[in-house]
Amino acid sequence: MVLLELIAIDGKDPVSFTFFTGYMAMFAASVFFFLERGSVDAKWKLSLLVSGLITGIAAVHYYYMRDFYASTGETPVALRYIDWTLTVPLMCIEFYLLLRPAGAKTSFMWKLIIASVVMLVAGYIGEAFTDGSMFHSVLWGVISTIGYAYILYSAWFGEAKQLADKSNSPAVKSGIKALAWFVLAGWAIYPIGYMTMPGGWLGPDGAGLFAAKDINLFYNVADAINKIGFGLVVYGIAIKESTGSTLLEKTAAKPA
Amino acid sequence: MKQPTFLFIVFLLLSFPFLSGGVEISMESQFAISMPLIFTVGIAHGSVDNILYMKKTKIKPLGFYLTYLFLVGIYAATWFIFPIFAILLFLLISAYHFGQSQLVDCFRNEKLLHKILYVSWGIALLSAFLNVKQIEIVALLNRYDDLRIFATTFDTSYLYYLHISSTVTVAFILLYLTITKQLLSGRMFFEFFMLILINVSFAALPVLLGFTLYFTFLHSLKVLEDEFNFLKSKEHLHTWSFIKKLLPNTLISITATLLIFAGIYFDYINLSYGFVLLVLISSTTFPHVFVMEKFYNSQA
Repeated sequence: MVLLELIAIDGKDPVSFTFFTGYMAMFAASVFFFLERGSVDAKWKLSLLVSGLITGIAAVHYYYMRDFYASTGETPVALRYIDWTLTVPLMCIEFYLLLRPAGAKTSFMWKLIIASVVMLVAGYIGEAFTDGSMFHSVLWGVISTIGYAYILYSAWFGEAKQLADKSNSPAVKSGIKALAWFVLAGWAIYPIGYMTMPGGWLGPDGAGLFAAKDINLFYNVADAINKIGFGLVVYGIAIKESTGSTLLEKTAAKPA
Repeated sequence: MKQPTFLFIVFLLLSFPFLSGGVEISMESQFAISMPLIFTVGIAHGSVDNILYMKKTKIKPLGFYLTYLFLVGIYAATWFIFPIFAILLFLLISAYHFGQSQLVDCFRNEKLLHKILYVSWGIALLSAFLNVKQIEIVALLNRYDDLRIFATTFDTSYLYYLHISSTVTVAFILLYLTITKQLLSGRMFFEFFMLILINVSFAALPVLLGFTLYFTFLHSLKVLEDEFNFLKSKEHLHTWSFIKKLLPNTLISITATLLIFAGIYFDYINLSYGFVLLVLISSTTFPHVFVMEKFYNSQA
């Protein structure tokens, strides 16, 4: 029955399409990160393990979300937030692991984790327990945004930025800058998706550009960019720090 | 990224839940939110023009103030003689000023192409605002008898083409400057990103709030930061002493505006609040743009 539903995925439905490709991409990324742990120095193995866990956890959730959406046509809100509750704090741990050689303390990690939990729990309450009132949506949306703004501030101006500046490694400096861009541009896709909800500016009651189910389209694209991209940046730093050159540079240096 | 840009992004993000909640904000509420920001941060960013100009030139204070007030008076008079010319010139000099403040730190030695980029960036910004909020702006202008004349100026499909062509021009110039190594690629992507964000904010937010968010945080606060850094390099300065430098002219400007508004309220002045606001803002912008040109040029 499940196989039939998979075969019956509507190719014209981008939401359904991105659930499937999202699952495969996350799965492939996990395999890549786990296998590549052998190519980096011992101090970077934990970072790659975390990258693999992030995409692995997401792949499992996407497997269930894809089926849930295929069989019900509804948004898998609970599954989505379970995935994020596990993976987003892991991304914060990535920041800590990268900056630990520059002197990052566990308090730095916990502050980021708390901010991410505030962002996610408030977002979940705002989305899952909506009573249709304006107040509910605005209140939880604002609280969630405050959590996000803290992480954004830390990455661009606060502790993460200052620690990266203190680091002697150019790879870590540029890597943290790339991750800061993920937090700014990549994570900003989520609140834009939030606006396709009923009553939202982009949704059917507003500009009418998107249907309510299209919130999944935004979230799926954002997840693929942020989780896989985030992991690839970490991988790039690990390879560069381990070998003194990037994978591309190494490949180019090899005789044909 | 500078801190004013960060604040712009955070306030834009904070507005998303309101937009997702479908909150309707009346024009009166928009005025109530926008005016305090424009009257404080907005006016303040031009209130040390005298200090900046006198530090850059050998002009005497009296000479500076007389010239400054003369230019204010000339521009104010233009509104009553050639109103369409006044508004179009105001938009053009504002476009240059907005572009300059956004991009001036990209280049060490300014060339003609850089100045063309400033104007194009400013036109892309203003035409984006006028294009995506055309209906609201025309409706707002039609609310006042003395502003109705401008409604027809903006009720045109040319704004759409201007928006698209100026944005494409900016993109091409930024790309060219990056290819010819006059601009870092990271900065080019950042400017593309900011243009998208500004367009999103204009489209998503109500008309006055959208412009106020840009004007307060991305423009005025950024200019204030540049002014603070310059003065700090010349003398011992901390935040509070900088605020004290801003206060006199800011308070004079606010008081003068309130007095004129009182004149309208008590029927001594037969003009609308909207028209007077436009005249005051444009008339003070006119000499301010010259001061900032001198300020930024001697910084390069």
